[in-house]
Amino acid sequence: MAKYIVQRLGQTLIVVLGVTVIVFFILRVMPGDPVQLMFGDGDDANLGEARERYEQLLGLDQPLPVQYVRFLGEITTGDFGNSIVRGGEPVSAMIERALPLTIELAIVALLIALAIAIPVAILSALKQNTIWDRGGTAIALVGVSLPSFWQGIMLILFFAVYIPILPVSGVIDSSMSVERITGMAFTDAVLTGNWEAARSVARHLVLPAITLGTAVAAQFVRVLRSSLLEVKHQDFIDAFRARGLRERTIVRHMLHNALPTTAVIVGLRIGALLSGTIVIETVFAYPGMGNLLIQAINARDFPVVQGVVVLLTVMVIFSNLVADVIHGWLDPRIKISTKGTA
Amino acid sequence: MTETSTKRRRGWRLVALLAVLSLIVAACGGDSGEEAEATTTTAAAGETTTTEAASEETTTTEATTDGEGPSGTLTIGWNWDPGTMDPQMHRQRYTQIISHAMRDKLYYQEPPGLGLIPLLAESVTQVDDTNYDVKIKEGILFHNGDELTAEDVVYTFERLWDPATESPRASMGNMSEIAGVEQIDTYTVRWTTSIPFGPPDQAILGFHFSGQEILHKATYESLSLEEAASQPVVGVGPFKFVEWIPDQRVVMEANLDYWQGAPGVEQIVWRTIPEEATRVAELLAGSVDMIHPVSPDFVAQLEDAGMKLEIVPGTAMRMLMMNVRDGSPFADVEVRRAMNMGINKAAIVDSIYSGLAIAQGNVSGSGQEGHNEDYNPYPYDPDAAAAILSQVTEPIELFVQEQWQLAAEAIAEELRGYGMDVTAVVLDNATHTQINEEGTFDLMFGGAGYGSGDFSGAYYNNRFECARLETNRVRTGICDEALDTLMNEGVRGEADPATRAANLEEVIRLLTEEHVPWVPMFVEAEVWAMAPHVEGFRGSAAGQMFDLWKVTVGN
Repeated sequence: MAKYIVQRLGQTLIVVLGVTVIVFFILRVMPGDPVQLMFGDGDDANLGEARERYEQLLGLDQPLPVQYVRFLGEITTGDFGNSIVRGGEPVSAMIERALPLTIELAIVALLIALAIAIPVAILSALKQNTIWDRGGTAIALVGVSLPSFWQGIMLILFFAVYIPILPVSGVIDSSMSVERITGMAFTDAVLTGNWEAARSVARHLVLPAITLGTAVAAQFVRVLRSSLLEVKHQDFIDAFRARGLRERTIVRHMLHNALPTTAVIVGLRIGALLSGTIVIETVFAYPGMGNLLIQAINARDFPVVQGVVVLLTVMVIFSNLVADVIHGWLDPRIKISTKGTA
Repeated sequence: MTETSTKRRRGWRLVALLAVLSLIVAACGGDSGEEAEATTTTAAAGETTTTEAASEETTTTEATTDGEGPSGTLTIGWNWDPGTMDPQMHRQRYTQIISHAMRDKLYYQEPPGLGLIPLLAESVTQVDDTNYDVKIKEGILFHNGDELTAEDVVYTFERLWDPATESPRASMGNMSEIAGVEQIDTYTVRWTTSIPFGPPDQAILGFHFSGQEILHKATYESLSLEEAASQPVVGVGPFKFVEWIPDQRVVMEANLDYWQGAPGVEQIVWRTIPEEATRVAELLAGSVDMIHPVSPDFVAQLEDAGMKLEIVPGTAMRMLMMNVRDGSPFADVEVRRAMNMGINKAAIVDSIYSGLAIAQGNVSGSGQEGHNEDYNPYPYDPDAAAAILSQVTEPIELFVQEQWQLAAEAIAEELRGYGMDVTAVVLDNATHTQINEEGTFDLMFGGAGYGSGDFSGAYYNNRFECARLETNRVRTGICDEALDTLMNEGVRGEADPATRAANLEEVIRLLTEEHVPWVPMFVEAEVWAMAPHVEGFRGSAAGQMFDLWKVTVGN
């Protein structure tokens, strides 16, 4: 197992290097540059000279290979450079601020997804080809099909405007603050015993987490239902029934056998959760990584885009690796081979 | 499976269950904080009996009621995060709005127009061709109680131009032609220029006084650039810095000792809400008091919900840019003139912009220097346009940014009606900007801002002056050295206001009728929407939010 993990980490380095090349050069090939956008049609009588001077200051007039080597040098030291647009703020500070919020949103969304998916999938599998099964499948289909942007706006309209029981957007009520410990607002509020703030953060998390969670839940339902159906028709389940085991116990055994596949799917969907935050965070004015990335792309803030994309790539690769490892741990029948087969 | 492992697994399940339950319980509980705040605001607002202090007639009237201090919180939902608290390290209008609420400038554009009036400056006197003395008002205090002096003003501009600051604002206006500033006495600063800047009312545009907030020397001298980007702000403004949580909110409180009078509200909260539909929902839900910007799509909905709208003609000309160079379908000036006659601007303004825009007839925009609203040499004449445009048959791409796609589609449809083969192509902002600057287009829906209000400065320089071609800002490709000479000698270098105005009128006429690089389309309105209890807000044509100290939040 250890050898396998080391091998996968080695592959990760190659993938990350490839991503740095792609993101760096795609950004430069795309039309528009940050100085052009920043200065716009500005009020400078000598705008062209002003822009050229500023490009020199930022090093954007250097040849691309020189800029790329500088970028690589920065990320190897954990420094992603400084934002071009936001007054020279270090990208690492921006990520440090945004990442915990995204992680917290993703975790809550994941919990919501599992809370929806597990009972619906069990019901569908146990009552296969009944109205319950068809209803569950239909819900999953609708969940997968609904654009999360639209879903988010609808949730806002219903639960924040027409029936105002939840806040529309943001992280916390604007009259409250949370002392920063982990950067995850709800966790920090709980850790500091600031229950009023915890309530406010939780209320702000509900709509974005449901929007993000339902889309992922639908995918989980489909996978878990299929796994459960597969297990349901295996001989040992018939044997359990023949021995007169209670249905509850049988379901537990079914879940136990279906879990490894679901765990892998959950791990693989971490990428979908993170990419889902890009839209959700914008709709709900939630200042996480997705929001940061969108703003940086629009402003062609090269260092910020590079930093966020590289970090998200690393996170997705690691979540896949962890999913594989957990799969092996949950299902002893699987032996992970260092020759690339599992 | 051992008993121990079973217990451990049950334990983990219990922890996960508790985590979910605690979140659900917390989420479902009432947000007493929000309720408490709403109650406080209402109670405080209830005590406010009059809003007469939010007078629009005078800039020196106090915003608060007699004997009562500021009351309530004004929460503004808008698109942006300021990015920095250093007023010299940005190029964004919204960062300047935040900065201006806490720091006054020497001059500012009093809403709703573009004309400059003195704020911290008392007067500007021209000593000779290249020297100007600026006298500042006496007895004005910074937030920390120190008095504003000429030393602070000199420091502000020296820091701005210091190469070590690397400020992107250092050459705004005509500041690259300023030789230096020096303190003459406690309240007087001398500006020395390397070329004549003209009479004082013209020179202050070149000095860009309206774009530079005055810094407290003692504070900023002790801060590094990194610290100045996020440290609490010390300024001469109606509001004091409280907190900034990037991408979430900026909070400021009333400066009770503000030299023009105490502000009308205790606190302003600026919330960053990038998505417009979400901003509108926030206003409708009552969790923000004001939103900006507002697109025409939401105006009817907001009006129906009883929200107030502040609508001011903006400062960005929207136009069809035609490539005038050889090889372009628009190289022939007659085709360009026909284009000007062939588009029904009034219909576009009415149907797409719900009337929240002003159709334009010439190359200077509404409210801009030299603009004459009645000057429109090309009234809508589809028959005359069809006679010429029907001869233009090659495929033409009309490049446009997403925000103006509907207008571009309407234009393309109308042009296809004349027999032209025009297709609207939507580009992202950065791509659009690059193609615009390189001049690699035949037809482009573009924009030209004039926030400072002048035509002869950056507006002309960046779009029409031949010198711009040297720095790759080709745009339509127009270049006429005789026109540049008229602008340089007859407008920029002319001291007599009447002669200057006549020459500027001629420049605008030559561009509109002889060179015809554009089809001037419309100037959109700047729109703010606010709850009925918000009083005293005046929007600025440049999209600025000055004079927020005059705003009150009533019942």
